[in-house]
Amino acid sequence: MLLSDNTIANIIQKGLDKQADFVEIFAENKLINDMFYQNDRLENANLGVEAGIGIRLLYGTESIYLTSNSFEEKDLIALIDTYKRNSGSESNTNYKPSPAKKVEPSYIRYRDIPSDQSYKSRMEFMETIAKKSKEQSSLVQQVEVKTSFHLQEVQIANSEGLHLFDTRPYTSYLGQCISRNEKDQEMGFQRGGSMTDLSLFEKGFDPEAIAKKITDQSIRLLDAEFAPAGEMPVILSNGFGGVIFHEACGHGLETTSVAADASVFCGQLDKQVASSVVTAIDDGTIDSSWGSIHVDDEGMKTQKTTLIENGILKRYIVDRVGHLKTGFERTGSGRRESYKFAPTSRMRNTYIAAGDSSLEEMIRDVDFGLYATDMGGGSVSPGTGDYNFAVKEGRVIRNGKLEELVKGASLIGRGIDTLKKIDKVGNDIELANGTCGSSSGWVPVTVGQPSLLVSKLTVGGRAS
Amino acid sequence: MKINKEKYFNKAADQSVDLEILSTKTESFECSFQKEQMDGFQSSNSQSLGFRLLRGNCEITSFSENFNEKELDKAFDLALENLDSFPKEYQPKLYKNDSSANDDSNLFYKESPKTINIDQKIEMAKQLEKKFYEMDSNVTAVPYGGYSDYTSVVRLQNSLGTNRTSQFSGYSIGAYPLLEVENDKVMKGAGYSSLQYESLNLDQLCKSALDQCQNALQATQPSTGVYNLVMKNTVAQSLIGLLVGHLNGKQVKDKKSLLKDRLGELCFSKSLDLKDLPMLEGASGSRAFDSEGFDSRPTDLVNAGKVSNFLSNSVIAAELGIKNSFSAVRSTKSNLSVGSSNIVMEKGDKDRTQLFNELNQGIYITEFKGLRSGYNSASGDFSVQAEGFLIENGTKKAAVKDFVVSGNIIDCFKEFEASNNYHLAGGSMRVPDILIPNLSVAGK
Repeated sequence: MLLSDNTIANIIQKGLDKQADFVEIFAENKLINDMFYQNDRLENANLGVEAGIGIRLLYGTESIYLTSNSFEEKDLIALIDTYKRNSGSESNTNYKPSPAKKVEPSYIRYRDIPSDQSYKSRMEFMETIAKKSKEQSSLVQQVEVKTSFHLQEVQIANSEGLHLFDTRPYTSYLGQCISRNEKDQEMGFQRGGSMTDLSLFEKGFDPEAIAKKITDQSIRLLDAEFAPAGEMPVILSNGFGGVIFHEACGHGLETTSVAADASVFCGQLDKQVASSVVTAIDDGTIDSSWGSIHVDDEGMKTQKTTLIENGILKRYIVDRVGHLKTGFERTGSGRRESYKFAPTSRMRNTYIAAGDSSLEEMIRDVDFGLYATDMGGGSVSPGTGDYNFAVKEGRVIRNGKLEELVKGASLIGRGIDTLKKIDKVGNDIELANGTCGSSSGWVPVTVGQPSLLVSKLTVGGRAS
Repeated sequence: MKINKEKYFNKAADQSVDLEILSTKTESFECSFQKEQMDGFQSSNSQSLGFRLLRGNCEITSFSENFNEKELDKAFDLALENLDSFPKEYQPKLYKNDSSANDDSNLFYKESPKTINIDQKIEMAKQLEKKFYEMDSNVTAVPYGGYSDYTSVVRLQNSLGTNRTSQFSGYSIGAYPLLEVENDKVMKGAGYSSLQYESLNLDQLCKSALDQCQNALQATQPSTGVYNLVMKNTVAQSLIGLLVGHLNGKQVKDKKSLLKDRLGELCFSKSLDLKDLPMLEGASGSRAFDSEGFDSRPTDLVNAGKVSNFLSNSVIAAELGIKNSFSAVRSTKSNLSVGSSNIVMEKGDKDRTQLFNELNQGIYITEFKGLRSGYNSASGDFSVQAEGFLIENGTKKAAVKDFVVSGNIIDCFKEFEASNNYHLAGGSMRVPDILIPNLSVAGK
């Protein structure tokens, strides 16, 4: 336990004495264990502990957030005293302490792997990727592999009597290969992760397959032409293609945006916001998935939330303050990077549900367009849903057939317009890991979708 | 909490280990308003301590944010246990740097935010939101933005006797107003940071954000084609930032830089001069010493188009066989690496209007959106969403948006022309407007 029951009780009482309507404590201890393999050896490690306390006082919808690295009760009481409001007047509310309950794992499991064993399997994993990649081609210049294990322990208590303790394990890798020929240099990239323990490096990830993927991509791109430029139909690939929905629409469905009137989805509940073939879901309960949580960072049990059903907007993504501001029921989506951030409404595992079209059928429907096979990151203006996303790799479609390989394009558009231009939804859904940055920091999320055919997007390739 | 650092230096000495301890302590404050109600108030105290252990050709780092002695012991012991698993190609060393020159410089610290009354700061955040509604009746919300400040102390000590301390502080305001006109919505932002509270100018910030919104509301999509472009200095800064990545010795050593093996070669237009200046008045990247404790000093990176130096630290310089540029960077949580301080590009002779005249017909780019994700660092290719104005016969015409500019970062600086004006509002770059011919634009 990070803070004793007594300390929890005294801090919450102190907040109530400041006449706060609601007091919450988020205590965190996060073990960081990152290893970097580069230049054919273990190059660096990042080992340590992030630890601290966040105390939130709510006065109506007004949020006061105070943080410290000290776990001493006197320091935390003094921290609350730095906030001057309503000082001097005692609360009529007496907080009744309750012992912490451990969140029982069901779909997120963790076991402690002996460090000798985990070190050996991680090293073998990283060495295999580097070795196989370099064996595959003499064009390979550099292979980098990062493996990470983060173990976050949180204690959450509030003035409504909630008091719990939760453990969240995150195991992941990033693999990158740089290849060079006489004229160009290109990169192949792959990442994966799961909410589980280090056994993934023994029997979860396949290093030889990862090596092949990153090497193949870096070499393929050396000979790729630049993507065409202009407006055209685009097929967005399954898996990480879902990043567009996440960024351009998902953020607009968070009550952090909705309550501030900063979303194109304000006032759209029960209205048609997307093509009728689109159903979108945000689900925190997928087994071991990167964006899953048992309870959110406000201590609420998380859930599966249908956001859009057959094109109709059904729900927003709601945290406590979002609920107070809008009246919508909370969805177990209050999340934060760490104790350094007050929680806000955030996505978990967000995806567009499978439809019934095949990829081949979509390609056949396009006279001239782009099949974006591998998407990079992007950014969005939350108030308008205007977005831009990188296409790392794609194929030109001519007369219903896949033709030359292309690279170096951006897709731009407005989220709500794009949702209405989705003509076909594939039957090949896949999920992919990501890390989402917003006002409560960076949190692990999953994005996903089947292949989607969008009737028209601006493709920023090279004009001739 | 008082830390007994001597204990760790003694423990290290007992194990024949050289030890460096980097510690930081930061206090920060931020406040924002929405719909005339205080929406957020955050006050943070944070601290972190990082150990860097060296023995023979091995080096490792570890850190803790919990200063409880037991937790610090754990972090130290973890590093010690794993030290031998991290051998380096070149033997890393610690250095005795007992200079304290410029440690107290007012280049990066002028006044403590504690001297400003908290009510004054809250009022600043309140007025920031209010001003937008007063200045433009089409503003429907100011969803993001507010006031923030910080002060931090960084201390670097090592077992050879280096002991240097610097204090940093800063103030910022920023806002993203949302405007709605005839069912069209636009949201644009502006930010300003300074070492002095008095320099924060709400009127200027609000005007800048609203001007951008107005332009975007009127903007149309340009036709796809190849254009000559003038990049506003703030946009040119972001391109130079990408280029500097290829002048980083760590990237060169790791075989990722496109300028690898090109030291001393003419790679760019002879008009290109780039310097790293760590002691620059008013610039946010200024620092008295680098993360190995060496006094900071200027470095010529590109001279008349020739690559004259790569940024380096002692280890990278030795590995590459180049002079150390004393550009070591590291946080308590990271390993020793290399980074720029303030990048300054030499100005040209002409003002912006004269560049427009040279353009005759083209686009003046005022904003890039999503450059980080639209950039391929391996190939140097970029494809990035942009906004700006069409230029015809040397004058600004219609605003344009929803288009993508594509090119290659190395090729961009083979032929360009620089203006004579810098953007000076905070930040760590001094870069003029630049005219780049023949770039691809994807629009309608």
